[in-house]
Amino acid sequence: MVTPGASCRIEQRDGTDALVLEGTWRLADARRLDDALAALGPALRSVAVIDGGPLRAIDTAGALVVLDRLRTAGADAAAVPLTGFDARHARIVEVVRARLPDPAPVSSTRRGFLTHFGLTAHRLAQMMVGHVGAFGRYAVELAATAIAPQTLRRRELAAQLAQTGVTAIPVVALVTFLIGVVFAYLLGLQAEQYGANIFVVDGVALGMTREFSPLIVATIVAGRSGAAFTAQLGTMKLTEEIDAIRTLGLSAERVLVVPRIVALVIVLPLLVFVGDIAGLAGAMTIASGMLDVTPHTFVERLHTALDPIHYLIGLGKAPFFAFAIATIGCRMGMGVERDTRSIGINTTSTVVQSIVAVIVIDAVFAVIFQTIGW
Amino acid sequence: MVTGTAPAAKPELVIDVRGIRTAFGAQVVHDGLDLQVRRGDLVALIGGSGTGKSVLLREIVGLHRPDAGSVSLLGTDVWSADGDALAAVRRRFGMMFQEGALFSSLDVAANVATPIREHLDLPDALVDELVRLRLSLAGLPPDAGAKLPSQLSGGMRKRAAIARALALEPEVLFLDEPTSGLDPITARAFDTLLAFLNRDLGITVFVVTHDLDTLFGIARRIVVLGRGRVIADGPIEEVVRVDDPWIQSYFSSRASLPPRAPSDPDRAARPDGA
Repeated sequence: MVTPGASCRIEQRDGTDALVLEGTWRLADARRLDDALAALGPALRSVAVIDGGPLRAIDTAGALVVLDRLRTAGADAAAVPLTGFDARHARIVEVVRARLPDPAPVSSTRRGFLTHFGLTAHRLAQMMVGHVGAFGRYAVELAATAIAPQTLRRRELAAQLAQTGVTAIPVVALVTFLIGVVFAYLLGLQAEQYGANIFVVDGVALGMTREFSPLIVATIVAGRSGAAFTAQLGTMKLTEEIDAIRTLGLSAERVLVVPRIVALVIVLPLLVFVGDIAGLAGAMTIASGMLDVTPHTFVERLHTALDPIHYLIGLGKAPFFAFAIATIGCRMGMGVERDTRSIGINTTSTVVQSIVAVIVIDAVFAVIFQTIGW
Repeated sequence: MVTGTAPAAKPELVIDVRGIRTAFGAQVVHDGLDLQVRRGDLVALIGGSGTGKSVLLREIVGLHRPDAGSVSLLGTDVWSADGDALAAVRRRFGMMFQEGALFSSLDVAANVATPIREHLDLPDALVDELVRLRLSLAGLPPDAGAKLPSQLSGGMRKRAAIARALALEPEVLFLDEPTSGLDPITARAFDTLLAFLNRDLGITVFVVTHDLDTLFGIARRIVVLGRGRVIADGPIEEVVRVDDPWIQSYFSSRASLPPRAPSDPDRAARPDGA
């Protein structure tokens, strides 16, 4: 007695109650149908027969609603006889009756804070253990490649050098140039007050070459190449290409991982060099425009102000960053499980881990150099 | 060419494909293809590799635009309908993709619940029960609902995909090679499931398949694609007699097995191959 399309009522017949279904009982109206049945209240309990005579259509959802309400009210939904049903309708009701799901258990899958905390800690520990294992395996493969350099996949190495190095130059140059601009501008604002414009060169040269350029370039490469490694190897894992490599008697680490690590270790210092130049160029632009330090003066000052050790330290950190990024990227790619979701999770994780690793390594170097007084 | 089963007077056309032409570059896949399917039918589409079976399926459900011709699905012209009309039709059919195409970040129950929650405003408890009814209709145990697709075997994943396709009470169910990659026992269980959905729930079933057992076992009508069009159409007994080299070699391709030793106990012990 609700929608124009469907209604239900209880009729007295020969001393028993009959539930009469009328109209169209379909999924689209399930909520209204459910409410209509609920409105009949406890009367449903005594229903002894379901009359589907006036029924125009019913689907499994309609049948489910009826049987579920009857059961909830305490009637014997599994056995109530049907009458007057069209053969097709009766078949659908019987199909649903045979599979009537148990009443929804109020299952709580929500985990408590402590459980969540514990599980996360456990996962993190497992990941670290996996990392250590991977580092070991890769170190062995790298050593083996160093002993027998002809086993290095040159073609793969060349492809990786191009992909991680050459194509990264524009973005690296642009970003470090802009950082140079910003850095020189900020320093210039301060230095100008003391008429110490020329010292901007000292600050920028030291900061850029020793810290900013390596860090920023490593971050870009982590987002670019580290993520790419994970996605590439993860997809290969998913399509069983890595298994295929293994069954062909090859080492997947040798074929896929070693060229990537070697390529990145070669490429990152070169990119840092690009970053140094671009950063100084950015600073030079600001210096001549805002601080009256001509490019000529800038370069001259650079010679006296920049001790090569700073510049070499900046370049020297790059291979370590590269090793960390490549190893994490490859390891997370190889660790992809056999579902697509896993690739996304691992790629995100690679970027986060790589950047954290780069900064941690940088901090360690800072402490070491502090101690030995460089 | 065999004509279809004598057209019964009544049942409406659920699928009406006329004059479809599809080309990928210079390669013409369909050239003036016509195909009609009536409500309640169970149709199997077969054809050699590259005859455009899956493409035809994608054209019917509105995923790939044919170069010419029209596709009418449940009375709506798929390729000239506006967004609303197309969305309305899409709620009335279910599609099972070859690899299942389950959402890998959601568990099976959430996969099945997604279309219900997106399209209907129902109380959570009712959605839950509907989901469990769908799982059961697709032949999955209740505890499968809490699993992620990656935790299921191939056969279970395909059943979960059917459960999701059934979510909105479809009038038509499209399946792309539902039994490929399944062991014969699981595949036959699948055929039984399709026959059940067709017979007991009145769902029109349109299945692209290569499985001869599906063709002989449950398909009431076989449509054969070849040379860009339908080269045979009718019940299996008629199609096998069509004088066409591809059809003849197709149906004679079944290896005749020598009498077998008692069946492999390992296989028999796992009825659903799970």
